[in-house]
Amino acid sequence: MTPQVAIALGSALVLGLAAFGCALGIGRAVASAMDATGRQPDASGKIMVNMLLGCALIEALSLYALVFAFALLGKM
Amino acid sequence: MTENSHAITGTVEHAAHQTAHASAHHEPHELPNFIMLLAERFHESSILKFLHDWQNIFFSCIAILIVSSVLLLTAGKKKLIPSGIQNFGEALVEGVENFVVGMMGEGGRKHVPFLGTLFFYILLMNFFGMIPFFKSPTAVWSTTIALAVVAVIYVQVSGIRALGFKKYFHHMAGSPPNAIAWVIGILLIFPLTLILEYLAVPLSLSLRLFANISSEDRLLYKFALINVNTNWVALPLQIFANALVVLFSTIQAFVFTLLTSVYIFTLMPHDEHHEEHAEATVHSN
Repeated sequence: MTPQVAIALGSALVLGLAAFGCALGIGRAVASAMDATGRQPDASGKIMVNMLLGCALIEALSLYALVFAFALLGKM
Repeated sequence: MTENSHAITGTVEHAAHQTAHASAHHEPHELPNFIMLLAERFHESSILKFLHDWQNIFFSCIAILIVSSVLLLTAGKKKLIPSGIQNFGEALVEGVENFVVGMMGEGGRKHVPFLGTLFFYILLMNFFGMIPFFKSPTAVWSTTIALAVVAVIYVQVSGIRALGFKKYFHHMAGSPPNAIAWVIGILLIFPLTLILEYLAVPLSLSLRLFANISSEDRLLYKFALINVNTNWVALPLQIFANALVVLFSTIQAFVFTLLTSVYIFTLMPHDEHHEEHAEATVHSN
């Protein structure tokens, strides 16, 4: 296994895993936002703002993996 | 045998050197901006080469000029019933002030200038990537790490000012209530807080913004490439991508500002708040 094979495999795997974890997290966040909106529809603006904030924070984690993959691919 | 291994290592090194050379020549990953085009057209001009080397700072300066001119024009006219640009600027400032004070309480009012400027500066820089022949300075890590370092310095200095040195160290050691907790605090929690607040926070803030905006730039570039190569087949997708870029740029600027204000809030004295809460729960029972 040359370094190039390792880098290619590693980047793809890391991105897939990060996307998987991120999708689970965002799914939970959006689901609870939907529940809260169902209970009190007139608070939906505030709930959506908080949900988007949470989603941005979770998404950042998968984007760290993307940045790392780009750095590794640059060294390939 | 050694000849063969030398030849093999020689070719591997040569290939690695070639790829390093190729990546150092910046395989294109974003749409060209007007400085890049001008510098390519006029090779010999040293002014254009200088601008091309410092293009991120140039576009940041354009964003600074726009933000400062709008806000200075707003502050210049002091009509009691505002209209025109004063109305616009006051709406912006009031929006930021309501949000910050709603989150941090009255103590947050003195942080509104910094947070508001941060928000609009980052927002404008993010939007530059969508303007043709412009470039987002936040799509490179250098701009975002500078922003994150400035934000962290501001947060820590305002924390030291609000708490005083003794309470600041008390907070950094995890707010230990008695002597044994002090020992654990200094040995374990103090280094952890140092690493978290001084290393992880600027890295995460900067990497979040950088990764989002550079990914958006790459997306716009790839869609433009598809459009050009396949005769405008992907035009609806590109319009959708532009809408996505607008939304996420706004969200990322908002998240940066919000996280900075959250960090300022955690370093503000809030012991009375706990007592108020305790009293409220007692009275409600």
